[in-house]
Amino acid sequence: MRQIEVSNCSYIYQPGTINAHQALDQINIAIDAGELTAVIGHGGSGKSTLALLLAGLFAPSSGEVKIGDGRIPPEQLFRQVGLVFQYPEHQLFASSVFEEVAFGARNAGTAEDYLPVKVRQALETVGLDPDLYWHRSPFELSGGQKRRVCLASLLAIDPAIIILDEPTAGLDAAGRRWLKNLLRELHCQGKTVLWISHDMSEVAELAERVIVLERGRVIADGATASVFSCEEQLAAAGLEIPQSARLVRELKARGLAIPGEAVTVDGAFAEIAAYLGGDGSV
Amino acid sequence: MALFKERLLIGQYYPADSPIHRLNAKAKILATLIYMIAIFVVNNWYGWGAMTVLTVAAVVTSRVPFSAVWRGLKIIIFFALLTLVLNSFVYPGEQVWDWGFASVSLEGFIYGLAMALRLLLLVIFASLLTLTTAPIALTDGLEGLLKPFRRIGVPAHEIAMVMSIALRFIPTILEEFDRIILAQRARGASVSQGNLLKRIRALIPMLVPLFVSAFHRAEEMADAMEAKCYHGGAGRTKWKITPWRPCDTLLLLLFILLLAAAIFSRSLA
Amino acid sequence: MIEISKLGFSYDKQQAPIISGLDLTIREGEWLTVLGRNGSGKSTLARLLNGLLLPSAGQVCVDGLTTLEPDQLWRVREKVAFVFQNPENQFIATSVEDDIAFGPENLGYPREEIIQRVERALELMNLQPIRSKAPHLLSGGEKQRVAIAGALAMASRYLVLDEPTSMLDPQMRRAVLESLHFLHRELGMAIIYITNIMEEALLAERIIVLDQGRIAREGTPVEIFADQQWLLSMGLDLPQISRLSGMLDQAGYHQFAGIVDFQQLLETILCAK
Repeated sequence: MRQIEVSNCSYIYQPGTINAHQALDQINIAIDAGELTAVIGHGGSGKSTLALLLAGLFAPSSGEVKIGDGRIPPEQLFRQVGLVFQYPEHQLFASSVFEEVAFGARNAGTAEDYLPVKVRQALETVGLDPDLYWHRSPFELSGGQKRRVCLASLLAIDPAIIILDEPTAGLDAAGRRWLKNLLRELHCQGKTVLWISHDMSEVAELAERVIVLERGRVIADGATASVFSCEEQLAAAGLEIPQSARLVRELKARGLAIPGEAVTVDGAFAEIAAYLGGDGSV
Repeated sequence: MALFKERLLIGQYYPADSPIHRLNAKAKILATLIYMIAIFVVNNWYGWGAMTVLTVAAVVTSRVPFSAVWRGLKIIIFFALLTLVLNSFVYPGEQVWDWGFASVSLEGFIYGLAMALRLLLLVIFASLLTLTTAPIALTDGLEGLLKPFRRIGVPAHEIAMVMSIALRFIPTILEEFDRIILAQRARGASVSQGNLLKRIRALIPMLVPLFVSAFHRAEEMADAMEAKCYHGGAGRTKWKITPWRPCDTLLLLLFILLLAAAIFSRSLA
Repeated sequence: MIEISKLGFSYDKQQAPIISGLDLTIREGEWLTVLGRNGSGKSTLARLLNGLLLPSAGQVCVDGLTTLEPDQLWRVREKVAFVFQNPENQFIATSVEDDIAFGPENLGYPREEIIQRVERALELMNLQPIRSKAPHLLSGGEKQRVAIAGALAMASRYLVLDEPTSMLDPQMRRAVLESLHFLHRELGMAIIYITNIMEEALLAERIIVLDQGRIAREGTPVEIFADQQWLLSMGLDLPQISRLSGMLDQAGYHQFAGIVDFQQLLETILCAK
């Protein structure tokens, strides 16, 4: 089922002034329900603007963004499309974790009696013990815990589409691992997940599909392995594929009899091990 | 969606090479002060006409495109119109229109027009100061002008530093505020529903993060300044100095003359 | 040389120290990377190096100057420059060149010398084209390079960087790292680099891994990335190449053990048959 449809969409900041800047240029994207998609591109390629358009916070300068059947009024869109900004912990404001997490759900019209249930569920999903954190001030938590609270606040609204702008930025290895697992879990629950990333190995590991933006245009859109095979195109967009993916592609180019399609470490290992074990000449 | 950062950037420095850009900042600040006094001293249309010609000439000489000046004027135009309308209704005098419950007087209209013009000229001229003067030159100029008052306890360096940091961070903080508003709207926040109390309460999710981030920013800036060995104005060198040239003296003389003429024209009228 | 002996730090006597009993010598001109999970004390250690924080126990000596003596502190900060994680908040002045001049101005150098230093820093960091730009018109990567240029203009011998690329995209990240390589190789500046990105850690000559405020291990990148289980237990990731060589090693291809370099792994696979 088609869930997001962006057709001929452009967005211009400060149109008609000397500072006018075209962030998106006639892009077309269609995403089905339940897809796990990564959006990549270097700074200024239009990724964050795209996220704002999808969440209905910006209206396109031209073209159309259609969410679901396209009949959701803009002020109700946040119940369908949850957008987590970059460094969401900068938006904390409430005096307790409960209030912070309940904020979005309350705005979405969740009944007061039902709020604690929603908040409890959301906190459990992000791995924070509700009983321990319920009354604590979100400001005294560690960076990683703050990020979890912000994600819980989004999950309590229970949107069908979840968009995250660089969710792993600033986290350490353990935090990144946790977040990747959360994305996987949301995907398994049937959510449509779209996330912006700079970490190509994270994209390789998780994404089914990759959309590459460059100067406001979609320059590649497809299955992860096939997008990562257009190395030159990616390089032109200032992106480098992960080292293990580069390794198998270079090995193949040097004449080794391997598929050269892997994008992850595990995939590369399988290809190389199969080659090395192929005639037992170790 | 109009963002704050796009709306509020009034009088941001516009780099260009013009005679006005090259003037000493101290001279420009003093000239602007004299202009401000003059525009309130003047009370006749010859004077206002002359001030208008002077202001337009200054804008043209500055090579700042009109669109950049205009950007800062949009909000002021609203206030100017408000001044005009209020004066037209409130000022006593011969009534030209009368609806029974309210009436417009000719004197009020003319007085309002003059006030609106004053306001516009004042803002154009003042924004020309910031448009043609690099922030660092502006704050250095201010520091230079305040220096003589240090003996009576005016912290000249500190005032200039605070102003420089404010100029530096205003765009950043506006950008931040835009982001916070968008992010809270993504969580369903809305400030356009309900009664006044509800609307004020709805501002909390926007304002708290703004203050938290401003404090956090201030802390990091203090660290960064300390790391670069900042320890107040004592023993500090300035690497940029704009020399005071004859044309700066000339500018000041010209403006003093202008003020004198304004005072003189008042006694005529 | 930066000599750190029995260093301890805590914000509050009642709480567990953030740094405790840490001994470390940082040589002139070396590239030292500091790894450790969030909360391991990395940033605190960095701030102790130039006296932004002062030791609760032990001391930090930079070329014989201690951060504990107020009159030596300024000279320590002149020698040990600092680049922060957030590009935005360390840009104090209103234009690129003024921000580079900010340090030397504070140090009270004569005007002519500051001009020379600023010009040189602009040139070495390739910042002349944007020298008069205001900070809100610069990218994060450009701001970080301005911060590095500021260190150059202060003629610092040591540059401490606290996760300087964590808020940058890959392209800007490469530009910042290239600048650092230049400083290190051509000018012999010591780099003390704190990071969460394992691929960046490989650039070091020496790595220390912090855990609970102590040095848990110290060694060359090859030595550090050899013990993969231990690294994971420290809450760290592995660079892709060393993960791959580790998996191959475990699968019985021992010639791959300990390889961390892309080219070396490539050649070893090509020569495997």
